Amino acid sequence: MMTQLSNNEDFLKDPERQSPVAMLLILLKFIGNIVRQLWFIILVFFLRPGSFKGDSWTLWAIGFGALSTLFSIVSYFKFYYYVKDDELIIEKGLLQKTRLNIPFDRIQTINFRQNPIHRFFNVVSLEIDTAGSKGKEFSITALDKEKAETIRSFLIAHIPKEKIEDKQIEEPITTVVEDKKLIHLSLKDLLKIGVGQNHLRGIGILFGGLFAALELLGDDATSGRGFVRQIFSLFDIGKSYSTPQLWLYAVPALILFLLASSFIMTIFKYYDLRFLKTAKGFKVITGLFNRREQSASMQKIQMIRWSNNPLKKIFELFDLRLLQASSSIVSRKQAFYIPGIYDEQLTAVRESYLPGEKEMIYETHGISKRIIIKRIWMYAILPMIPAFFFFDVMDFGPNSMMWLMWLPIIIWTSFLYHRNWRYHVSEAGVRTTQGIFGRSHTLLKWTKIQGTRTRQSIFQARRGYTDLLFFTAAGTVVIPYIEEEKARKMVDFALYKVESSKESWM
Amino acid sequence: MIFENNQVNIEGLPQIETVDYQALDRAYLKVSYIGNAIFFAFLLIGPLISIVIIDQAEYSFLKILIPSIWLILMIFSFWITGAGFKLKGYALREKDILYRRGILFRSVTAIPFNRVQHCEIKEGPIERYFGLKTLEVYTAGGESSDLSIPGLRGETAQQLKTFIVKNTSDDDAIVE
Repeated sequence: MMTQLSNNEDFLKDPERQSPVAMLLILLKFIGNIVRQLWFIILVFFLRPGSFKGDSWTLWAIGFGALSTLFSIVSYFKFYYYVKDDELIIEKGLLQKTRLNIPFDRIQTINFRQNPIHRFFNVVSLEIDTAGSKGKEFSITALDKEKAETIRSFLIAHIPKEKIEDKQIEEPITTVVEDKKLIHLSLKDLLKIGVGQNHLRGIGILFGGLFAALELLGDDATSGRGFVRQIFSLFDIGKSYSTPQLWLYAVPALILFLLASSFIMTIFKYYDLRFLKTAKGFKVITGLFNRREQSASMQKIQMIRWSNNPLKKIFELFDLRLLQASSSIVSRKQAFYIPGIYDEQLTAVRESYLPGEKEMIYETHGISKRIIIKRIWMYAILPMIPAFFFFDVMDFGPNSMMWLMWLPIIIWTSFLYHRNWRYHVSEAGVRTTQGIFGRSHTLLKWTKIQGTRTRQSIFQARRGYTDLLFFTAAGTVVIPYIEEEKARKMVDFALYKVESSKESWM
Repeated sequence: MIFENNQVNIEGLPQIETVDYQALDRAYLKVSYIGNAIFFAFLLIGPLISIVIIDQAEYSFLKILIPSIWLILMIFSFWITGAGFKLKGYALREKDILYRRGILFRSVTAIPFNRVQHCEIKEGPIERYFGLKTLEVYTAGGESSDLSIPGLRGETAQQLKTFIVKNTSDDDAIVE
C-alpha cells in the first residue's frame, strides 16, 4: 500500500474538509473550556438556584449557546487541508486566516487521539509534531479513521528516507507490534497513586474556587462568620455547630475530599495504563475516556528522572519522567510521564538508558553546608526586610508570629535540603539525588551533554565554591554549591567524554 | 572501528584551569560604555520629570531621592562594565570553545564543537562603528546554553566561526 501511495502524486491535491463530526467536537471543546473556567459559577447555580433569578440568565445562556454553535459550524467550513510540494498545508481561521505549512521532512511524530465521541463516530484526531517549530503542534480535529490512516501512510512514505532512521514515526494503532509490557497498572496501583498525589495543588484549586463562589453568594460572605462556616453554609449544613467543632469536621472532610478527587482524577487520566518497551524506545497507552498514546524513542531521551514523596515512599512507588530532546520549554514540561512504577521496572528503564548501570561504580559526593546559609538568606532573611518596612514585625501581633514561624521552617527545610543532596559520578554518567521530604533522582549520560558551565557568585568565589550546570537538549541539570576543584574535574571529564565519544546525543 | 576502552587517567585529561583566556578587543569597552550611556540617558527622563512635576513640599524629598538613585545605578553600571571587561575572555581549544565572564556572578561556559548546531556573526550599530562583531554559537541545549562572544575584530570572528564550523562538520565526517 505504501509504495502505491508514494507514487500517487495527486494525493490530497485538492483542499479537503474534515469529517462533519468536527463541528460537534469543536462545540463540545469550546463549552468544555468555558465550564472549566467558570465551574464555581455552576457550583453556585446548583447549590443556590435562587441566585440566578430573572430572565437575563436564560437569555445569556441561549445567546451563548447559539453563538458557540455558529462558531463551530463556521470553523468547520473554514478549515481545509491539502498537500502541495512536499508540504501538508492547513488553512483555517474565521476572521484572521491562518495557513500552516508542515514540510514532510520536519515531521517528528504522527499521533492519533480518540475520545468517546471520536470512537462513537469512528473518527480520530490527527496530531502532527514537528521538530524545531517551537512546540507548535498541528492537529486536525476529526477525520474518518480510514482517511487518517491513508494520510499517515502517505506522510510516512514521503518523509525523506535518510531521516526515517533517526525519527520515530509511531506504528499505526491497528498494527500489532511485539512490545514488551513493563507495567500494567491495576486498580490497586491507581488507588496508591491517587493517595500519593501532590495534594497541595488540589487545596489551592479548591480554595480558589470556593472563594470565588463565596464572592458570588454575596450576602452570606459579608455577614462576618468564619470562613469554614461559610463553606458549610454553601451546603446548608453545620448551622448548629460552633466554630471549633466545625474545624473538627472540616479537616477530615477536606482530607477525604482531596483523596477522593485525586483518586477520581487518577482514574480518569491513568486508567488501564500500559507502559511498554518497544523496539525503538518506550510507549505508554492510558486514559479512561480520552485514550492517550505517547512514544519516546531511545535516541530522543536525554535524561531520566524519577521521584517519590513520603506517601509514595510508603507504597514503594516512584513516578518516572523520560525527558526528551525538544526545542521548546513548553513541550519539555509535557514530558513522557508514568505516575507509578516499582523498583523492578525502574531498574529496567535505567538499564536501557544506560546499559550496565546496575553494576556501575558510582562515587558519591555531597554539597557544601554553605547552601543552608544561602537558602536562609534567600527564603527567610531577604523576604523579611520588606516585611519590616510594611508590617510592624516586632509588634508581636499575628503578622510577626507568622514571620517567626517562617524562619525555623526555612532553617529546618534547608538543613534537610543540604543533608539529602547527593551527586554520584561514574564512568558513563552522573546521577543526582535531591529533595526535602521526597526524593528526586536524575540520571544523565555524559554523552547527552550539550555544554557545561560553572557559575559562582562573589560569595561562592571567595570561599572556593561553585554551581555546576550541565546543559542538555531536554533541560539543564544544576549541581549547586560544590568545591571548585570537584566541579573542574567533572567539567574536564564531561568534556573529554563528549569530545572523544562518537556516540551522538540524538 | 576498533573498540576503545583504555583506562582514563583523570589527572591526564586536558584541564580547563590551565587555559589562557583571550581578552576581548579594547574597543569593546568603549562600545559597552556608549551602550550604558545611551541607556542611562533614556532613564534620565525619570529624574527630570520628578524635578519638574513635584511641587508639593511634603514630597520634595523625592526630588533628591530619584536623581540620586539614578546616579548610583549609573555609577554602579559603569563600574561593573569596566571591571567586568577585564574578566571577559574566550579560549579556543582543539575540541571546544570556552567563554568566561561576570563579576558578581562569574561563569565559565564550555561548548564542545561536536555539539554545535550552527554559528552566526552579528553586529550592532555601535559595534559596527568600531568594526567589532559578536559571535553566536548555538547548541541544542536551548537559550541558556547558547554562547555569545562580543567584542571580536571582524577577521577574528570570521576565523573563529570557520574553525568551529570546520570542526563541527569534521566530526560527522569521521568514519573509521
